[in-house]
Amino acid sequence: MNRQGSSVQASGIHADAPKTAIEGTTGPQPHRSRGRRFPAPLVTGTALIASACLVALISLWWTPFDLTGVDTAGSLLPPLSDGHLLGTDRLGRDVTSQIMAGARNSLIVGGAATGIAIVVGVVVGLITAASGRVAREVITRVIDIGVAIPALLVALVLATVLGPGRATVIAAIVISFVPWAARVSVGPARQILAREYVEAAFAYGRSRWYVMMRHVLPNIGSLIAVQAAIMFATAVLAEAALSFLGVGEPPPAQSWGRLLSESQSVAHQAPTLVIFPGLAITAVVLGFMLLGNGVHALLDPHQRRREMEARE
Amino acid sequence: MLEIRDLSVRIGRHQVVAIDELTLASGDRMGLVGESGSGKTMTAMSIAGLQPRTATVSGSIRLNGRELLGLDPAAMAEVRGTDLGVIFQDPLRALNPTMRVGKQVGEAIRLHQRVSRRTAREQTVELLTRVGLDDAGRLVGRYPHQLSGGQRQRVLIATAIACEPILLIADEPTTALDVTVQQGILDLLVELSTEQGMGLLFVSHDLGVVRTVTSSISVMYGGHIAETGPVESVIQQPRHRYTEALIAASPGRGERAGPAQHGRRFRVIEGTVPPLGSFPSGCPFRGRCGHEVPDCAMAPPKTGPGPHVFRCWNPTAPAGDEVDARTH
Amino acid sequence: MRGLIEVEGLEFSHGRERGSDARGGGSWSLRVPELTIEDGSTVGIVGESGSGKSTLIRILCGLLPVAAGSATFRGKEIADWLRIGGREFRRQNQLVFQNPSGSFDPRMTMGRSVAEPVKAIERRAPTGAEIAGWLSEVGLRGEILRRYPHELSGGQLQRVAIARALSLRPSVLYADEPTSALDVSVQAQVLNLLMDLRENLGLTLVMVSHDIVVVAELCEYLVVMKDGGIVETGRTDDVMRRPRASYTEELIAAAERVSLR
Repeated sequence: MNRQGSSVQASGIHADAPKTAIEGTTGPQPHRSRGRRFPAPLVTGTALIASACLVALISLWWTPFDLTGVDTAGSLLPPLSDGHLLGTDRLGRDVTSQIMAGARNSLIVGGAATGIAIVVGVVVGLITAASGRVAREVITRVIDIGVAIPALLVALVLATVLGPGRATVIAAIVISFVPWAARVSVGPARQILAREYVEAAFAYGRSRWYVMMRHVLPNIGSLIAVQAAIMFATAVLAEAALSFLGVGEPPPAQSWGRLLSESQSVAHQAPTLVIFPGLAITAVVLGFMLLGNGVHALLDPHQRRREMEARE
Repeated sequence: MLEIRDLSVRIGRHQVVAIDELTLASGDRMGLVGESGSGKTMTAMSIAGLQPRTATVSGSIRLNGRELLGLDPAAMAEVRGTDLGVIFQDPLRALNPTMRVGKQVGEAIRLHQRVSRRTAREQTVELLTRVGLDDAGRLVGRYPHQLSGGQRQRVLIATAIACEPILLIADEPTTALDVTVQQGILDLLVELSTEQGMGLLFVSHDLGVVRTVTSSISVMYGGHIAETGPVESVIQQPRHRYTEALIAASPGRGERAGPAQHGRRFRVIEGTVPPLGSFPSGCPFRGRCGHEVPDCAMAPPKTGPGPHVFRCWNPTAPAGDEVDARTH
Repeated sequence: MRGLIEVEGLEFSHGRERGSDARGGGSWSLRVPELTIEDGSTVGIVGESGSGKSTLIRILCGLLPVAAGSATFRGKEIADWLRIGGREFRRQNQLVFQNPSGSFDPRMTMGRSVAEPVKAIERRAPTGAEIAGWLSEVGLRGEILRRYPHELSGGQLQRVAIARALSLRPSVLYADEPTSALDVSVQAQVLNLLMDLRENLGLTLVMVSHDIVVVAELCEYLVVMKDGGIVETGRTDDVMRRPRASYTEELIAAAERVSLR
């Protein structure tokens, strides 16, 4: 892995979200069997994330070796030697322990960034959807500009202003996620606002606020959940990339991205040093992607309509 | 020309269509009328091989002697490109939004004739003119969303008749159109059918619309054909209790209201069309009918002389005073 | 006598709203020089797509703003009603829509949906007996209260929609193509229900439809609209027997051709 490669990953922060819309399904889908079976992606994704969370939790109290213990004599040990399951790095630190502690970092950063971005972004999106035409056009343009700002640039500028650290990483990711979250919620929210039940609610005197909270938000909730899962995956990837570039929390804190960058120079001697953190990142990212797909399949808003249509 | 025998369409455990016999002679126009859940659309789509993937179709559908059931998708597509044309309720959905109208019609022509692009273009203009689009030369360069609903439906008809099919299936072709536009489309279908000797299977929920287009009519309810016959015979002298009730309940269409009788009540059919798979056994109209006899629990036999047949244990009185009194 | 609803020189125009142009769209406007709806009358507004009939009733029930001109309800401008006394205006003006399955939040039970208007306007939760009463008025039983919209048929949903609108005991009920999404055999039930309720509750009923024959049989007065303007108004019998506008003739002729008579 080289610098260029990682910058490509970082630019994935503002990768466009997959098209999600309330209308228009693609092709017929297999009928679900009578028992309520959960889709395979959901199960796999949940399992991957659950194990990551478990590992992160355990690392709070226990890791196979001391996290900060430097042992230059035992550096670059191959896997399965001297009780080091995944070997040791350049400084002789246990890779298993480092990866376990890194999981904590990834999940904290991913969770915080996604959570803040979704709340702020969806609020912006709902306000946009509910505004008049002129205001909506203006906010939409602002959001478009926000989406177009390169996230990596924001992160590097923030790092020079705030200094590297976890907060910087979270802030950088939040800044690039908010326009994304806003943009994906405007369309579906406007579709709900065009429904007759919303018109009926206005006709019996419900306020805009009430309609947004009680009718619109619950009905776009499943779409937002799917987006959140994809964002979480992207955030984990972004965190790794930013740590790789040195924007992340400085040592002694552990991070998968930094593990990679530290092992870069010795990658040809000990390839497992980049493989294992890489696998960890892949597993968590994949986990959230699968979870997103699974939730989408489970909460498919077309499900009910298909049942209705089956009457004809 | 079209011969259907023992057609059964199932979705999961539910039988949605059960038709023992339905025939359409060459050049004839038949209306397939029913409400939601009647199976009319499923029947039409099964003939065209466009039924949903979850549906199981069995029996026999012959078009000019050729068995259509069991054909592989490619062969079925070939049939749709040659002997069979289909038009749908919503022309905007049936047309490609990113392709100019002329090109879409041209493709339909080139699909079945080996002609150059230029010839296809000339034929396209000709074809669009024939379906009543006066300004065909200009319209070919437009995209579907730039046309009115009526124009779109005419374009769709043009693509469907490009291959000079022997049977055109029209599924609620005017339901999405304004009443003043609807008539032009209906007239066009009749005209094309007469000129080309093309059979027409016209699917609709509206008896009145069907009456202006077809020569015969089949009324469906709960997946079965309740009544079949010449269109005037069925509408003037319905024998099946469902047909009778449907005509009487058609708002503004059934029994005439005297002047200044606003706010009068319409005759109603009790209850609601049952959901899929919940139609009663025996006669599917059982429970909403109001003229039930004990036999209704059994499947009613095909009754009636000549072309006008029905399946009802307790039919209305054949022809006579009652009908005359109502129509004059 | 003053009308319950009076419109004078009303204008409204939609900008080029993207996404809301499902019916052929573009920018269009509505101009109504004069229209009076009297208390307790039945008025049918007839027109084709793009005629502005749906927009007109949405302005009259305060869902869309008046751009220019005047629209009054009980002698007071609707805009003034909405500024002061908005709740009373809402209570008196209720609406039923064309598409019954879109008229209910898919995540709310029918019971919650039906209770909403009273909660919103009267700031109290209706009692179970009240709700049961509203439902029985439209010929439904209480067992549907726990159901979700997708579990009911179109006809049932439209009945619940009517019950919900009438729970506030409005003085005007606007019905926007209330039966065109329903099966033929169910349409008559809903139309009869509307007529019965109108009589029993002394409602003013304003019904929008594309079908001149249907509204002609139900309503005392007809308003024929085309391209955002009113083509003809009058007592139904006069309009149907001696239409003054050629467009009205065209509508009647088109309807007669597909008549079953």
